[in-house]
Amino acid sequence: MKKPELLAPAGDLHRAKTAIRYGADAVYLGGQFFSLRSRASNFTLEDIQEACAFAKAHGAHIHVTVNIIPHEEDFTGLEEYLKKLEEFGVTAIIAASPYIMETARRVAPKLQIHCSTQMSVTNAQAIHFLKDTLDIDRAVLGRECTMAQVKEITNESPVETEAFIHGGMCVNYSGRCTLSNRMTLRDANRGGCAQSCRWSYHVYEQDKEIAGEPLFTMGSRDLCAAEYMYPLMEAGVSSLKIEGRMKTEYYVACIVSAYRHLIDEIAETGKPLSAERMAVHQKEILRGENRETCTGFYSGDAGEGTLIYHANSNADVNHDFLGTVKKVNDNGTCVIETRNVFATQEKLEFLTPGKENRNFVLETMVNDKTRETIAEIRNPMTLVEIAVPFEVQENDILRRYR
Amino acid sequence: MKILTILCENKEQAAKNLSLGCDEVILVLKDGCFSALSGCTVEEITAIAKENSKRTAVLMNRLFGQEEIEQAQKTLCELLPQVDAVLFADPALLQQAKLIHMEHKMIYRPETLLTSAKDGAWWMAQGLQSVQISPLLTKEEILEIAANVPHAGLQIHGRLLMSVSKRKLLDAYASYHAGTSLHEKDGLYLREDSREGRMPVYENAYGTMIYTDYVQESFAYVPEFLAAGLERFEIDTYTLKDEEIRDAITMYRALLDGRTITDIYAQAHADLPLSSGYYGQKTIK
Repeated sequence: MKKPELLAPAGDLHRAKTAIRYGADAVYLGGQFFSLRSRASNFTLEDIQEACAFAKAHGAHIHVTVNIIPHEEDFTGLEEYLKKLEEFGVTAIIAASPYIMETARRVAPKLQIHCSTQMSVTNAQAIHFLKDTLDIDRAVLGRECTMAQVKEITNESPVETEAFIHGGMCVNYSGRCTLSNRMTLRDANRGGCAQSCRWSYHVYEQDKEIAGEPLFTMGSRDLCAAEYMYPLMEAGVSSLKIEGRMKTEYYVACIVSAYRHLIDEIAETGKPLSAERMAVHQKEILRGENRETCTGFYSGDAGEGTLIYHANSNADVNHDFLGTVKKVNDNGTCVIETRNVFATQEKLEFLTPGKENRNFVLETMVNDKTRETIAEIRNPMTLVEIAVPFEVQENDILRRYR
Repeated sequence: MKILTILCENKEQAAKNLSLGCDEVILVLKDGCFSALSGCTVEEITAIAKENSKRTAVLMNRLFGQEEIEQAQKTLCELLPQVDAVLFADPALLQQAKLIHMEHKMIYRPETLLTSAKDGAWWMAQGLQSVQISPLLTKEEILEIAANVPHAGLQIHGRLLMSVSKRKLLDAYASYHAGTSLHEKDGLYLREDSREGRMPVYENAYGTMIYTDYVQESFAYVPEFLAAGLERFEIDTYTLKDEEIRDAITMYRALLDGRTITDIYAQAHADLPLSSGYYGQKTIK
């Protein structure tokens, strides 16, 4: 079975490298202009250039979001920007504005054009139109598509399709929601979305309030399409996309690593996985996910079970990321840059690109600066030396074992 | 050309609004729209168009799923020869219109996506009759597009559609509370917990639509829009009462005909939460 591209998000250069190390075939990122998610730590041109070089060295690709719904003043510098992206070796831009797509084709013809989910493509005929008029190379399907629709669209599409497999979901049709604009004046279509859909609302019938606590909300559970990976791969979807340019390094590492293993296992066997194997992969995926998840529209109508009416209940994720390996010593120890509280005698595990996770009990810990032996870490960004009973490498992630 | 146009639910409304001074009625197509207005069938629209001595347009702005698109394209083919224009959002409809050489009857109306003259010009280059400018723009931005994109339109009055979800959000909430279904129920509003405004919300088979807590008005702006070249001036009637619609048509008609209006709409309809929306207030990134 052909392996689709695993496409991961990155909010900065460090996360882009993490995604590639943990198995992403391609990373999508936003520059400082022309991109949604203006509050992500967006990439400078130098960062994009470095990301491209890093990706090339690892056989991966860089896609750049140029997916703003532009106002007149937003076009300034567009041509030069697109030419730079092409020069750096960016594989594709993800765009929603026809003018931006047309300009890219004209001034930077080596760039592939991927039609953004902001266009809410939900049928193959719309893709035919976009192919005929803008010569797009790929269509990112709307998150409103069911699995049956994804299959049929992909079958009839004149270009590659890309589908979301994991992460936050717009509850409304992407690109057509102005809740944030109204509530905060922050333009959702120019990167300022305040996620007002996740706020609480009273419902009235004429003047009488109905229901009550918990209040109405449109807050969606995150998408987790692990159980749809085989159908998506069988349908021939070219790229499987993880959402989350605002997410942490830990999220990127966990989710990318977990889906990498899942895709590889399905591709190797050419069959749907057993319930037991799927449970193993799902457990891994959920280690990085701090919201409850659902299968979105893949299973049909996305009803009550896809919405969150209560406080977030998966806060463990925020406590699990303990640090990254900064240095590996010859004597069976390594230096960790810490991120969370942990102590000796705790069972911990290493997340290593391309390997199964390995766990151990932390026996000793030394402050790398003072050389003082310590039993507990309380401050983040402390450098500590720990003994590890197996080989690790720089940038590996240390987390709590669960 | 200047066209005062209005969304209508049925034959009676269409006739009344035309008699009040509209140049065109936009009939809401049943099962083909993101609109809380109830719609007309193809047969009803065809009958209305035949009797109508002025322009008849159809709102068909839904995004269609793969299994629906063939039927939607058939419906479009039935409608196009009978009407003056079809307002669409799904590019698949334009693809079909091109096949039967009727793209000149198509109006691109994607709610929020048309925010620049450059994108407007691209769409017009596809042979369209018109494009509808996003209501999220400032007066200056609208003037810029109107001056550079021939035949452009804008919703000038009524509640603006703020969001559309394919999910049945009201029904899901009712189900969570084990309450009575809120599906296809009129008269529902949302109020954000820390704000006062009430936003009409309606759910039907195609999802949940939320409208602005205010009613857009453009009385002070229409002369400038007209002078800049804007051609289509649209009124959405959702939640508006008959007299509110009547006065809006009368006053906009006068403005479009170059007459000065002396009546003040806001005084006559003091209960309406009128606002000039984003005309004087630019959104931030």
